[in-house]
Amino acid sequence: MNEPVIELINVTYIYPDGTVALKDVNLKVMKGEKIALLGPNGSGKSTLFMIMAGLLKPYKGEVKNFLNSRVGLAFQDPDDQLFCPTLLEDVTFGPLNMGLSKEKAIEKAIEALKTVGLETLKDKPPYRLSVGEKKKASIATVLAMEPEILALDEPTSNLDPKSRKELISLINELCFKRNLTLIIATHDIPFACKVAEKAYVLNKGKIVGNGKLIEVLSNFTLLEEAGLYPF
Amino acid sequence: MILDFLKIFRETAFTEKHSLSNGLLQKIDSKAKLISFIALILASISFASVYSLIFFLTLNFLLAFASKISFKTFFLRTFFFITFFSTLIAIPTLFMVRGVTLISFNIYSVTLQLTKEGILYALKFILRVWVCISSLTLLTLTTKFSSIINAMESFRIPKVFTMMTSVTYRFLFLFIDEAYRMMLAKENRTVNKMRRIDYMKTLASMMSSLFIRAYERGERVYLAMKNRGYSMETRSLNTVKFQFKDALFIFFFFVFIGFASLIGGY
Repeated sequence: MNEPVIELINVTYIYPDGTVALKDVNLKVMKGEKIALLGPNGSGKSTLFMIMAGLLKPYKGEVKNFLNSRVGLAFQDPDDQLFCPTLLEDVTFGPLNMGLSKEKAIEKAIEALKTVGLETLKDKPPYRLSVGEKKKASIATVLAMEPEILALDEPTSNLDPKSRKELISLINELCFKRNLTLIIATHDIPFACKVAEKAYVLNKGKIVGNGKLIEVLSNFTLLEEAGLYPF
Repeated sequence: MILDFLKIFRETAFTEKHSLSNGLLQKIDSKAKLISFIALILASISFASVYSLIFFLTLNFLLAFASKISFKTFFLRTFFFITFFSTLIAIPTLFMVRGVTLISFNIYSVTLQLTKEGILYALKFILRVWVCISSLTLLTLTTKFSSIINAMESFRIPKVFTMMTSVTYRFLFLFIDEAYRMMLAKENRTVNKMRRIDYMKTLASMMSSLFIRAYERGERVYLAMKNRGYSMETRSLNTVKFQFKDALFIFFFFVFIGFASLIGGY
Protein backbone atom coordinates (compact mmCIF):
# COMPACT_ATOMS: atom_id res chain seq x y z
CA MET A 1 0.00 0.00 0.00
CA ASN A 2 2.92 2.36 0.56
CA GLU A 3 4.41 1.84 -2.88
CA PRO A 4 3.72 4.69 -5.34
CA VAL A 5 2.36 3.67 -8.75
CA ILE A 6 1.70 6.97 -10.50
CA GLU A 7 2.75 10.49 -9.72
CA LEU A 8 1.87 13.69 -11.53
CA ILE A 9 4.23 16.58 -10.87
CA ASN A 10 3.17 20.13 -11.80
CA VAL A 11 1.16 18.88 -14.76
CA THR A 12 -0.37 21.54 -16.98
CA TYR A 13 -2.46 20.80 -20.05
CA ILE A 14 -3.68 23.34 -22.57
CA TYR A 15 -6.09 22.44 -25.35
CA PRO A 16 -5.33 23.62 -28.92
CA ASP A 17 -7.98 26.38 -28.61
CA GLY A 18 -6.07 27.82 -25.62
CA THR A 19 -8.32 26.46 -22.87
CA VAL A 20 -6.27 25.61 -19.81
CA ALA A 21 -7.65 22.23 -18.76
CA LEU A 22 -5.15 21.51 -15.97
CA LYS A 23 -2.80 23.82 -14.13
CA ASP A 24 0.11 22.66 -11.97
CA VAL A 25 -1.60 19.48 -10.86
CA ASN A 26 0.27 17.37 -8.31
CA LEU A 27 -1.13 13.97 -7.50
CA LYS A 28 0.33 10.75 -6.13
CA VAL A 29 -1.35 7.35 -6.27
CA MET A 30 -0.16 4.53 -4.05
CA LYS A 31 -0.61 0.85 -4.81
CA GLY A 32 -4.01 -0.52 -3.79
CA GLU A 33 -5.46 2.93 -3.03
CA LYS A 34 -9.06 3.78 -3.84
CA ILE A 35 -9.18 7.38 -4.91
CA ALA A 36 -12.09 9.57 -5.89
CA LEU A 37 -11.32 12.51 -8.09
CA LEU A 38 -14.14 14.89 -7.25
CA GLY A 39 -14.97 17.86 -9.40
CA PRO A 40 -17.80 19.56 -11.24
CA ASN A 41 -18.39 19.24 -14.99
CA GLY A 42 -15.56 20.73 -16.99
CA SER A 43 -13.10 20.74 -14.10
CA GLY A 44 -10.53 18.68 -16.04
CA LYS A 45 -11.17 15.20 -14.60
CA SER A 46 -11.32 13.42 -17.97
CA THR A 47 -8.22 15.24 -19.23
CA LEU A 48 -6.37 14.22 -16.08
CA PHE A 49 -7.37 10.60 -16.67
CA MET A 50 -6.15 10.72 -20.26
CA ILE A 51 -2.82 12.08 -19.09
CA MET A 52 -2.51 9.38 -16.42
CA ALA A 53 -3.26 6.71 -19.03
CA GLY A 54 -0.59 8.19 -21.32
CA LEU A 55 -3.11 9.12 -24.01
CA LEU A 56 -2.35 12.84 -23.80
CA LYS A 57 1.03 14.37 -23.17
CA PRO A 58 1.14 17.20 -20.64
CA TYR A 59 2.00 20.65 -21.92
CA LYS A 60 4.20 21.08 -18.88
CA GLY A 61 5.16 18.87 -15.95
CA GLU A 62 5.94 15.21 -15.53
CA VAL A 63 4.05 11.92 -15.22
CA LYS A 64 5.88 9.13 -13.44
CA ASN A 65 4.57 5.59 -13.83
CA PHE A 66 6.83 3.87 -11.32
CA LEU A 67 5.95 0.23 -11.94
CA ASN A 68 5.08 0.70 -15.62
CA SER A 69 1.55 -0.17 -14.55
CA ARG A 70 -1.17 -0.60 -17.10
CA VAL A 71 -3.96 1.95 -16.63
CA GLY A 72 -7.30 0.50 -17.68
CA LEU A 73 -9.37 3.54 -18.49
CA ALA A 74 -13.13 3.22 -18.94
CA PHE A 75 -14.35 6.33 -20.72
CA GLN A 76 -17.25 8.46 -19.57
CA ASP A 77 -19.32 7.61 -22.64
CA PRO A 78 -19.24 3.82 -23.12
CA ASP A 79 -20.07 4.31 -26.80
CA ASP A 80 -16.53 5.65 -27.25
CA GLN A 81 -15.19 2.41 -25.95
CA LEU A 82 -17.42 -0.11 -27.69
CA PHE A 83 -16.76 0.02 -31.42
CA CYS A 84 -16.67 -3.62 -32.59
CA PRO A 85 -19.54 -5.54 -34.20
CA THR A 86 -19.99 -7.82 -31.18
CA LEU A 87 -19.34 -7.49 -27.46
CA LEU A 88 -16.90 -10.42 -27.47
CA GLU A 89 -14.82 -8.79 -30.20
CA ASP A 90 -14.79 -5.56 -28.24
CA VAL A 91 -13.54 -7.30 -25.11
CA THR A 92 -10.90 -9.28 -27.01
CA PHE A 93 -9.63 -6.12 -28.74
CA GLY A 94 -7.24 -5.26 -25.90
CA PRO A 95 -5.88 -8.78 -25.23
CA LEU A 96 -5.27 -9.33 -28.97
CA ASN A 97 -3.36 -6.04 -29.13
CA MET A 98 -1.29 -7.25 -26.19
CA GLY A 99 -0.13 -10.05 -28.46
CA LEU A 100 -2.17 -12.88 -26.92
CA SER A 101 -3.34 -15.75 -29.13
CA LYS A 102 -6.99 -15.79 -30.22
CA GLU A 103 -7.80 -18.66 -27.86
CA LYS A 104 -6.16 -16.94 -24.90
CA ALA A 105 -7.78 -13.60 -25.78
CA ILE A 106 -11.23 -15.24 -25.90
CA GLU A 107 -10.54 -16.93 -22.57
CA LYS A 108 -9.61 -13.59 -20.97
CA ALA A 109 -12.63 -11.89 -22.54
CA ILE A 110 -15.08 -14.52 -21.32
CA GLU A 111 -13.59 -14.28 -17.84
CA ALA A 112 -13.95 -10.47 -17.88
CA LEU A 113 -17.53 -10.73 -19.17
CA LYS A 114 -18.35 -13.25 -16.46
CA THR A 115 -16.93 -10.88 -13.84
CA VAL A 116 -19.29 -8.12 -14.94
CA GLY A 117 -22.17 -10.55 -15.51
CA LEU A 118 -22.51 -10.12 -19.26
CA GLU A 119 -21.24 -13.44 -20.59
CA THR A 120 -24.64 -14.33 -22.04
CA LEU A 121 -24.59 -11.18 -24.17
CA LYS A 122 -21.18 -11.83 -25.74
CA ASP A 123 -22.53 -12.17 -29.29
CA LYS A 124 -24.73 -9.08 -29.12
CA PRO A 125 -23.77 -5.92 -30.96
CA PRO A 126 -22.84 -3.26 -28.36
CA TYR A 127 -25.42 -0.76 -29.66
CA ARG A 128 -28.16 -3.17 -28.58
CA LEU A 129 -27.10 -3.01 -24.93
CA SER A 130 -28.73 -0.83 -22.29
CA VAL A 131 -26.74 2.05 -20.74
CA GLY A 132 -26.06 0.01 -17.60
CA GLU A 133 -24.88 -2.96 -19.66
CA LYS A 134 -22.71 -0.68 -21.78
CA LYS A 135 -21.03 0.70 -18.66
CA LYS A 136 -20.30 -2.82 -17.42
CA ALA A 137 -19.14 -3.84 -20.89
CA SER A 138 -16.71 -0.93 -21.05
CA ILE A 139 -15.28 -2.03 -17.70
CA ALA A 140 -14.97 -5.58 -19.07
CA THR A 141 -12.99 -4.28 -22.08
CA VAL A 142 -10.29 -2.98 -19.75
CA LEU A 143 -10.52 -5.82 -17.20
CA ALA A 144 -9.65 -8.33 -19.91
CA MET A 145 -6.26 -6.61 -20.15
CA GLU A 146 -5.66 -7.21 -16.44
CA PRO A 147 -4.72 -3.64 -15.58
CA GLU A 148 -2.98 -2.77 -12.33
CA ILE A 149 -4.87 0.53 -12.15
CA LEU A 150 -8.56 0.81 -12.94
CA ALA A 151 -9.61 4.34 -13.88
CA LEU A 152 -13.35 4.93 -14.26
CA ASP A 153 -14.52 8.23 -15.68
CA GLU A 154 -17.98 9.21 -14.39
CA PRO A 155 -19.08 5.58 -14.04
CA THR A 156 -22.53 6.39 -12.63
CA SER A 157 -23.64 8.97 -15.20
CA ASN A 158 -27.01 8.09 -16.78
CA LEU A 159 -27.46 5.01 -14.60
CA ASP A 160 -30.71 4.06 -12.91
CA PRO A 161 -30.57 3.20 -9.15
CA LYS A 162 -30.51 -0.57 -9.75
CA SER A 163 -27.63 -0.41 -12.26
CA ARG A 164 -25.83 2.05 -9.97
CA LYS A 165 -26.12 -0.36 -7.04
CA GLU A 166 -24.87 -3.23 -9.20
CA LEU A 167 -21.93 -1.12 -10.35
CA ILE A 168 -20.95 -0.26 -6.77
CA SER A 169 -20.94 -3.96 -5.82
CA LEU A 170 -18.95 -4.80 -8.93
CA ILE A 171 -16.28 -2.16 -8.28
CA ASN A 172 -15.87 -3.16 -4.63
CA GLU A 173 -15.71 -6.85 -5.55
CA LEU A 174 -13.13 -6.17 -8.26
CA CYS A 175 -10.90 -4.15 -5.95
CA PHE A 176 -11.14 -6.82 -3.27
CA LYS A 177 -10.53 -9.85 -5.50
CA ARG A 178 -7.96 -8.39 -7.87
CA ASN A 179 -6.25 -6.00 -5.49
CA LEU A 180 -6.62 -3.20 -7.98
CA THR A 181 -5.68 0.40 -7.54
CA LEU A 182 -8.85 2.35 -8.21
CA ILE A 183 -9.30 5.92 -9.39
CA ILE A 184 -12.77 7.22 -10.13
CA ALA A 185 -13.65 10.62 -11.53
CA THR A 186 -17.07 11.69 -10.36
CA HIS A 187 -19.27 14.41 -8.94
CA ASP A 188 -21.59 11.80 -7.47
CA ILE A 189 -20.55 12.14 -3.82
CA PRO A 190 -22.77 9.35 -2.38
CA PHE A 191 -21.27 6.98 -4.95
CA ALA A 192 -17.72 8.07 -4.08
CA CYS A 193 -18.46 7.35 -0.40
CA LYS A 194 -19.30 3.74 -1.27
CA VAL A 195 -16.17 2.95 -3.27
CA ALA A 196 -13.33 5.32 -2.34
CA GLU A 197 -11.18 5.99 0.70
CA LYS A 198 -9.22 9.01 -0.41
CA ALA A 199 -10.24 12.06 -2.44
CA TYR A 200 -8.79 14.84 -4.54
CA VAL A 201 -10.96 17.84 -5.35
CA LEU A 202 -10.42 19.34 -8.76
CA ASN A 203 -11.85 22.72 -9.68
CA LYS A 204 -11.13 24.77 -12.81
CA GLY A 205 -8.13 22.57 -13.60
CA LYS A 206 -6.51 22.86 -10.18
CA ILE A 207 -6.32 20.47 -7.24
CA VAL A 208 -7.96 22.51 -4.48
CA GLY A 209 -8.03 19.87 -1.77
CA ASN A 210 -7.11 16.30 -0.94
CA GLY A 211 -7.02 13.86 1.92
CA LYS A 212 -9.09 11.08 3.39
CA LEU A 213 -12.54 11.06 1.81
CA ILE A 214 -14.28 11.65 5.14
CA GLU A 215 -12.08 14.68 5.86
CA VAL A 216 -12.59 16.16 2.40
CA LEU A 217 -16.35 15.68 2.66
CA SER A 218 -16.38 17.44 6.03
CA ASN A 219 -14.97 20.56 4.46
CA PHE A 220 -18.23 22.11 3.23
CA THR A 221 -16.61 25.40 2.23
CA LEU A 222 -14.22 23.58 -0.08
CA LEU A 223 -17.01 21.50 -1.59
CA GLU A 224 -19.29 24.49 -2.01
CA GLU A 225 -16.58 26.47 -3.76
CA ALA A 226 -15.99 23.54 -6.08
CA GLY A 227 -19.71 23.32 -6.85
CA LEU A 228 -20.06 19.93 -5.19
CA TYR A 229 -22.24 20.90 -2.23
CA PRO A 230 -25.11 20.41 -1.42
CA PHE A 231 -25.05 16.85 -2.73
CA MET B 1 -40.30 14.25 -43.73
CA ILE B 2 -36.63 13.98 -42.70
CA LEU B 3 -37.77 12.93 -39.23
CA ASP B 4 -39.93 10.19 -40.77
CA PHE B 5 -37.07 9.06 -42.95
CA LEU B 6 -34.70 8.87 -39.96
CA LYS B 7 -37.34 6.98 -38.00
CA ILE B 8 -37.78 4.40 -40.77
CA PHE B 9 -34.01 4.17 -41.20
CA ARG B 10 -33.52 3.59 -37.49
CA GLU B 11 -36.16 0.89 -37.37
CA THR B 12 -35.23 -0.98 -40.53
CA ALA B 13 -31.60 -0.50 -41.47
CA PHE B 14 -30.04 -2.03 -38.40
CA THR B 15 -32.41 -4.81 -37.55
CA GLU B 16 -30.70 -8.18 -37.38
CA LYS B 17 -33.84 -10.27 -36.96
CA HIS B 18 -33.59 -11.79 -40.46
CA SER B 19 -29.99 -12.85 -39.90
CA LEU B 20 -31.13 -14.82 -36.85
CA SER B 21 -33.98 -16.72 -38.51
CA ASN B 22 -33.57 -20.26 -39.78
CA GLY B 23 -33.63 -19.79 -43.56
CA LEU B 24 -31.51 -21.05 -46.44
CA LEU B 25 -29.02 -18.20 -46.73
CA GLN B 26 -28.67 -17.92 -42.96
CA LYS B 27 -27.20 -21.44 -42.97
CA ILE B 28 -24.60 -20.60 -45.61
CA ASP B 29 -21.17 -19.37 -44.63
CA SER B 30 -20.63 -15.64 -45.04
CA LYS B 31 -17.60 -16.19 -47.30
CA ALA B 32 -19.64 -18.31 -49.72
CA LYS B 33 -22.39 -15.68 -49.78
CA LEU B 34 -19.94 -12.84 -50.32
CA ILE B 35 -18.26 -14.59 -53.29
CA SER B 36 -21.60 -15.58 -54.83
CA PHE B 37 -23.26 -12.19 -54.57
CA ILE B 38 -20.20 -10.31 -55.80
CA ALA B 39 -20.13 -12.68 -58.80
CA LEU B 40 -23.82 -12.00 -59.40
CA ILE B 41 -23.28 -8.24 -59.24
CA LEU B 42 -20.31 -8.42 -61.61
CA ALA B 43 -22.27 -10.60 -64.03
CA SER B 44 -25.24 -8.23 -63.99
CA ILE B 45 -23.17 -5.12 -64.67
CA SER B 46 -20.86 -6.59 -67.27
CA PHE B 47 -22.63 -8.69 -69.86
CA ALA B 48 -26.21 -9.47 -68.96
CA SER B 49 -29.23 -9.08 -71.25
CA VAL B 50 -32.68 -8.00 -70.05
CA TYR B 51 -33.76 -11.65 -69.84
CA SER B 52 -30.75 -12.70 -67.79
CA LEU B 53 -31.26 -9.69 -65.51
CA ILE B 54 -34.86 -10.82 -64.96
CA PHE B 55 -33.49 -14.32 -64.18
CA PHE B 56 -31.05 -12.85 -61.65
CA LEU B 57 -33.77 -10.81 -60.02
CA THR B 58 -36.04 -13.85 -59.86
CA LEU B 59 -33.22 -15.81 -58.24
CA ASN B 60 -32.81 -13.13 -55.58
CA PHE B 61 -36.55 -13.10 -54.84
CA LEU B 62 -36.57 -16.92 -54.60
CA LEU B 63 -33.56 -16.84 -52.28
CA ALA B 64 -35.30 -14.19 -50.17
CA PHE B 65 -38.36 -16.45 -49.95
CA ALA B 66 -36.18 -19.44 -48.98
CA SER B 67 -34.50 -17.28 -46.35
CA LYS B 68 -37.83 -16.41 -44.73
CA ILE B 69 -37.88 -12.78 -45.82
CA SER B 70 -41.36 -11.70 -46.80
CA PHE B 71 -41.97 -10.56 -50.39
CA LYS B 72 -43.29 -7.21 -49.19
CA THR B 73 -40.25 -6.48 -47.00
CA PHE B 74 -37.81 -7.50 -49.71
CA PHE B 75 -39.63 -5.59 -52.45
CA LEU B 76 -39.90 -2.39 -50.39
CA ARG B 77 -36.29 -2.56 -49.26
CA THR B 78 -34.86 -3.25 -52.67
CA PHE B 79 -37.13 -1.17 -54.84
CA PHE B 80 -38.32 1.80 -52.87
CA PHE B 81 -35.14 3.38 -51.52
CA ILE B 82 -32.70 3.18 -54.41
CA THR B 83 -34.27 1.55 -57.44
CA PHE B 84 -37.07 4.11 -57.37
CA PHE B 85 -34.52 6.93 -57.62
CA SER B 86 -32.63 5.13 -60.37
CA THR B 87 -35.94 4.94 -62.26
CA LEU B 88 -36.17 8.72 -62.03
CA ILE B 89 -32.60 8.99 -63.31
CA ALA B 90 -33.36 6.61 -66.20
CA ILE B 91 -36.39 8.59 -67.49
CA PRO B 92 -34.36 11.03 -69.67
CA THR B 93 -32.60 8.12 -71.43
CA LEU B 94 -35.99 7.06 -72.82
CA PHE B 95 -35.81 10.05 -75.13
CA MET B 96 -32.05 10.37 -75.54
CA VAL B 97 -31.11 7.03 -77.10
CA ARG B 98 -31.52 6.96 -80.86
CA GLY B 99 -33.43 4.11 -82.50
CA VAL B 100 -36.83 3.01 -83.71
CA THR B 101 -39.32 5.74 -82.74
CA LEU B 102 -42.42 4.46 -80.97
CA ILE B 103 -44.07 7.74 -79.97
CA SER B 104 -43.15 11.27 -80.89
CA PHE B 105 -44.53 14.44 -79.31
CA ASN B 106 -43.74 18.13 -79.11
CA ILE B 107 -43.26 20.24 -75.99
CA TYR B 108 -43.11 23.89 -77.11
CA SER B 109 -40.56 23.76 -79.89
CA VAL B 110 -38.77 20.61 -78.70
CA THR B 111 -39.60 17.26 -80.28
CA LEU B 112 -39.27 14.27 -77.97
CA GLN B 113 -39.02 10.79 -79.41
CA LEU B 114 -39.60 7.74 -77.29
CA THR B 115 -37.50 4.96 -78.84
CA LYS B 116 -37.51 1.20 -78.43
CA GLU B 117 -33.75 1.28 -77.72
CA GLY B 118 -34.32 4.02 -75.11
CA ILE B 119 -36.87 1.88 -73.28
CA LEU B 120 -34.51 -1.13 -73.35
CA TYR B 121 -31.61 0.99 -72.12
CA ALA B 122 -33.67 2.41 -69.24
CA LEU B 123 -35.05 -1.03 -68.41
CA LYS B 124 -31.57 -2.57 -68.33
CA PHE B 125 -30.32 0.25 -66.13
CA ILE B 126 -33.17 -0.14 -63.64
CA LEU B 127 -32.88 -3.94 -63.61
CA ARG B 128 -29.11 -3.77 -63.09
CA VAL B 129 -29.51 -1.43 -60.14
CA TRP B 130 -32.29 -3.62 -58.76
CA VAL B 131 -30.21 -6.83 -59.07
CA CYS B 132 -27.20 -5.16 -57.39
CA ILE B 133 -29.27 -3.66 -54.58
CA SER B 134 -31.25 -6.85 -54.01
CA SER B 135 -28.03 -8.92 -53.90
CA LEU B 136 -26.46 -6.64 -51.32
CA THR B 137 -29.72 -6.47 -49.36
CA LEU B 138 -29.94 -10.28 -49.29
CA LEU B 139 -26.35 -10.50 -48.11
CA THR B 140 -26.73 -7.94 -45.34
CA LEU B 141 -30.19 -9.13 -44.25
CA THR B 142 -29.18 -12.76 -43.87
CA THR B 143 -25.69 -12.24 -42.45
CA LYS B 144 -24.56 -10.65 -39.23
CA PHE B 145 -22.41 -7.65 -39.97
CA SER B 146 -19.55 -9.12 -37.95
CA SER B 147 -19.60 -12.21 -40.19
CA ILE B 148 -19.42 -10.06 -43.33
CA ILE B 149 -16.38 -8.30 -41.87
CA ASN B 150 -14.85 -11.69 -41.01
CA ALA B 151 -15.47 -12.89 -44.56
CA MET B 152 -13.83 -9.74 -45.96
CA GLU B 153 -10.81 -10.40 -43.74
CA SER B 154 -10.62 -13.98 -44.96
CA PHE B 155 -10.26 -12.67 -48.50
CA ARG B 156 -7.22 -10.67 -47.39
CA ILE B 157 -8.98 -7.34 -47.81
CA PRO B 158 -6.67 -4.92 -45.94
CA LYS B 159 -7.48 -4.89 -42.25
CA VAL B 160 -7.44 -1.11 -42.12
CA PHE B 161 -10.32 -1.14 -44.61
CA THR B 162 -12.32 -3.81 -42.76
CA MET B 163 -11.71 -2.04 -39.45
CA MET B 164 -12.90 1.27 -40.89
CA THR B 165 -15.96 -0.40 -42.43
CA SER B 166 -16.77 -2.00 -39.11
CA VAL B 167 -16.34 1.23 -37.15
CA THR B 168 -18.35 3.19 -39.74
CA TYR B 169 -21.22 0.73 -39.48
CA ARG B 170 -21.04 0.78 -35.70
CA PHE B 171 -21.17 4.55 -35.45
CA LEU B 172 -23.63 5.06 -38.28
CA PHE B 173 -26.22 3.69 -35.90
CA LEU B 174 -25.16 6.10 -33.19
CA PHE B 175 -25.23 9.11 -35.50
CA ILE B 176 -28.57 8.20 -37.03
CA ASP B 177 -29.80 8.07 -33.45
CA GLU B 178 -28.19 11.40 -32.67
CA ALA B 179 -29.59 13.02 -35.82
CA TYR B 180 -33.01 11.65 -34.92
CA ARG B 181 -32.82 13.14 -31.42
CA MET B 182 -31.67 16.48 -32.83
CA MET B 183 -34.60 16.49 -35.25
CA LEU B 184 -36.99 15.65 -32.39
CA ALA B 185 -35.54 18.51 -30.31
CA LYS B 186 -36.02 20.85 -33.27
CA GLU B 187 -39.61 19.71 -33.80
CA ASN B 188 -40.25 20.17 -30.09
CA ARG B 189 -39.26 23.83 -30.33
CA THR B 190 -41.01 24.52 -33.62
CA VAL B 191 -44.40 26.13 -33.07
CA ASN B 192 -45.42 27.53 -36.44
CA LYS B 193 -44.64 26.15 -39.85
CA MET B 194 -41.12 27.24 -40.74
CA ARG B 195 -40.31 29.09 -43.92
CA ARG B 196 -38.42 26.87 -46.34
CA ILE B 197 -35.32 29.05 -46.15
CA ASP B 198 -35.31 28.96 -42.34
CA TYR B 199 -35.84 25.21 -42.40
CA MET B 200 -32.86 24.77 -44.72
CA LYS B 201 -30.72 27.00 -42.49
CA THR B 202 -31.66 24.99 -39.41
CA LEU B 203 -30.88 21.76 -41.22
CA ALA B 204 -27.51 23.12 -42.32
CA SER B 205 -26.56 24.10 -38.78
CA MET B 206 -27.67 20.70 -37.50
CA MET B 207 -25.56 18.97 -40.13
CA SER B 208 -22.50 21.00 -39.21
CA SER B 209 -23.09 20.27 -35.53
CA LEU B 210 -23.40 16.56 -36.32
CA PHE B 211 -20.18 16.70 -38.33
CA ILE B 212 -18.28 18.26 -35.41
CA ARG B 213 -19.76 15.69 -33.03
CA ALA B 214 -18.70 12.90 -35.39
CA TYR B 215 -15.19 14.33 -35.56
CA GLU B 216 -14.90 14.61 -31.79
CA ARG B 217 -16.34 11.14 -31.32
CA GLY B 218 -13.74 9.82 -33.78
CA GLU B 219 -10.98 11.36 -31.68
CA ARG B 220 -12.32 9.81 -28.49
CA VAL B 221 -12.76 6.39 -30.09
CA TYR B 222 -9.17 6.53 -31.30
CA LEU B 223 -7.98 7.35 -27.77
CA ALA B 224 -10.07 4.47 -26.39
CA MET B 225 -8.47 2.15 -28.95
CA LYS B 226 -5.01 3.45 -28.10
CA ASN B 227 -5.71 2.84 -24.42
CA ARG B 228 -6.25 -0.81 -25.29
CA GLY B 229 -2.99 -1.20 -27.11
CA TYR B 230 -4.00 -0.29 -30.68
CA SER B 231 -1.00 0.53 -32.81
CA MET B 232 -2.40 0.80 -36.36
CA GLU B 233 -2.28 -2.98 -36.65
CA THR B 234 -5.70 -4.55 -36.53
CA ARG B 235 -6.14 -7.96 -34.99
CA SER B 236 -9.49 -9.63 -34.93
CA LEU B 237 -11.30 -12.84 -34.11
CA ASN B 238 -12.05 -14.71 -37.28
CA THR B 239 -13.98 -17.83 -36.48
CA VAL B 240 -15.63 -18.49 -39.86
CA LYS B 241 -15.69 -22.18 -40.84
CA PHE B 242 -16.14 -23.16 -44.46
CA GLN B 243 -18.04 -26.41 -45.08
CA PHE B 244 -18.98 -28.65 -47.98
CA LYS B 245 -22.50 -27.23 -48.24
CA ASP B 246 -20.99 -23.77 -48.73
CA ALA B 247 -18.84 -25.00 -51.62
CA LEU B 248 -21.97 -26.60 -53.10
CA PHE B 249 -23.85 -23.32 -52.78
CA ILE B 250 -21.10 -21.45 -54.64
CA PHE B 251 -21.03 -24.14 -57.36
CA PHE B 252 -24.79 -23.99 -58.04
CA PHE B 253 -24.79 -20.22 -57.84
CA PHE B 254 -22.04 -19.97 -60.45
CA VAL B 255 -23.75 -22.55 -62.70
CA PHE B 256 -26.92 -20.46 -62.56
CA ILE B 257 -25.05 -17.22 -63.27
CA GLY B 258 -23.28 -18.89 -66.22
CA PHE B 259 -26.53 -20.27 -67.59
CA ALA B 260 -28.45 -17.01 -67.18
CA SER B 261 -25.60 -14.95 -68.67
CA LEU B 262 -25.62 -17.07 -71.80
CA ILE B 263 -29.25 -16.23 -72.53
CA GLY B 264 -29.29 -14.03 -75.58
CA GLY B 265 -31.91 -11.51 -76.61
CA TYR B 266 -32.11 -7.91 -75.56
